[in-house]
Amino acid sequence: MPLFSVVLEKKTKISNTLNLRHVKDLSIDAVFKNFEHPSKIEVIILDSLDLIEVPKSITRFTNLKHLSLACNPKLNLDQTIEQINALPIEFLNLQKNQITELPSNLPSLRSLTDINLAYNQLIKEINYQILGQVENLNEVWLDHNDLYELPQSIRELSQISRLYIGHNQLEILPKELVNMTRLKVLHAEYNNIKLFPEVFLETPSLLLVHLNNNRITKVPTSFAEHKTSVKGLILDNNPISEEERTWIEKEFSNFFLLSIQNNK
Amino acid sequence: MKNCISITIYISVLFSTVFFCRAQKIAHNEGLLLTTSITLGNQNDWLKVGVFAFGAVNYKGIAAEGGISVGLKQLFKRHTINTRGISKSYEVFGMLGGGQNDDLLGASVSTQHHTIFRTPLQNKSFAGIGFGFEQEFLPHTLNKYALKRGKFLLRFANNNTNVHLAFLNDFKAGKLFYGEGTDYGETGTLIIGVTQKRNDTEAFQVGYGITLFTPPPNYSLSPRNPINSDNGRKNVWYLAPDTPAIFYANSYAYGSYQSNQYSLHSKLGKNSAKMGANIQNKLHDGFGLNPRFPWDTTKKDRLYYEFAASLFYNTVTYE
Repeated sequence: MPLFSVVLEKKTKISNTLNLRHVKDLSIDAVFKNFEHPSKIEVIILDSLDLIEVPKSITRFTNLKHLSLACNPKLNLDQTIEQINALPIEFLNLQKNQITELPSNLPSLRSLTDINLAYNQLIKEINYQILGQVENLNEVWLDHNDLYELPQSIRELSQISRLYIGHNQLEILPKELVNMTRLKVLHAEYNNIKLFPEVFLETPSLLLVHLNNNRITKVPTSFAEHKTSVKGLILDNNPISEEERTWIEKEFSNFFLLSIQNNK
Repeated sequence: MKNCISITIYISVLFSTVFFCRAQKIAHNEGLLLTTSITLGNQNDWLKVGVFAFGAVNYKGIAAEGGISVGLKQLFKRHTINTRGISKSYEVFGMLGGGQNDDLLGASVSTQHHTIFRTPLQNKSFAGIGFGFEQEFLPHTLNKYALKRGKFLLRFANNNTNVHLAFLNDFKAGKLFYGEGTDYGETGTLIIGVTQKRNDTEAFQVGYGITLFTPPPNYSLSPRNPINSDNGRKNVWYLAPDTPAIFYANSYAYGSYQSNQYSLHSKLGKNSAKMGANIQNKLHDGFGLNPRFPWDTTKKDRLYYEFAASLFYNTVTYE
């Protein structure tokens, strides 16, 4: 066995993680093939390796649940999904890969529950249709995606409960959110939202909303007048007047989490 | 204002029960405890004076009881931080149950006082459930941690022996469990204890406690802290810059002895970041609402200890 693999093997004895991040000039295939107890590994990190393909030998890791492939912009995603679709992958990290279109075979990852797609450019409608077909998907990161608007096909993500769309250029949130019937947590911080989204009134399961660092000046009275599922609200660093802040704190005093601080 | 309303509700329930029972000529017993104590430990050092009032009534086997306490502390160390200043605290709780509770053993559910009331030995039993809240106003940079916590209480007693459970948290749930709703500070505490009166003046307590403390998150930063993130899979808060970054998770056993006019109390256990992360991660991942906190799980477990000695004056009245 190569020396490097021996060191790795020793390191991974105390954890279930095989971390090859930033390890240049390395034959991933050789490491995978020579790894003595692949079934013990649940996490593999292959970030920043300039990968083009994931070797077939990854299938030796039969208990792999977490695969990180961040910062590999030349990666062939179709081929990657094909290699790993028989593995029990729950979390796939594809951030910072300059992805504009998701591979159509993504839904073949039956165990996938969480996918990190931050720092890409997933603007096209088709991406959300594909994500909507990933049966067990629960959590999706779409922050830093240069989104000026959320496509209508966001409605296809009716299975997910946590959506992270912070650090985009969003000015409004679409009414299609009401179709996301299981959505419990929404992070939409650091956008350009000016009007508090009244769509939250009709998003049936939404519990916690992060809207800090937007341009919101007030929360509409309808939000206080109607019964809503929302019970937690983060509104820090919005241009909310002292008077409005007092009103919000009074009206939503029963929230389990309410924060309207200004730290700018 | 909300505090005042909640306190008023608790006191009204307690006293209306007392007056109702007076009208029915039903037994009621009250006690007042004045204490002065010193606490020394590796997380807390203080001198304290306190007042604790407790009352119990019962009518045809239906029993209610409640307590109010206030305390004034000269702090030297609080929540691991060396500090000089005065803290003020209060606690309010009420319980409803079945049985006879005129032995005032219900005072043992207090989380602010370790001393119970001296009453004659009586062969009584009680089972009840209750709620309450408490708050400590802290000085200087610790003032952000002056958070109200709700408490849920269970108590079973028989023949001078009492078993109780107290669960404290800062979350809000309806009108009965009324925490601050911040998800930081001394957020969660669980105490399970056994109290036994040996004779008219002596009592023992033993128990187990677990408590978690986390600093406030920085809501201005997106929760992408790599610490405790399971290799980037979980969202983790960064911390607010203007507040001491206090993390502790204490798991401890405690024991108390009290005699005619003094009581001794000690806690011994471990402070484990690994345990704190395990517990809180499970809660945060399980409910899936809020991101995790950046517990440093590489930190070694440390000893946690605390010793307290109190002098007290106790007066009780019987119907």
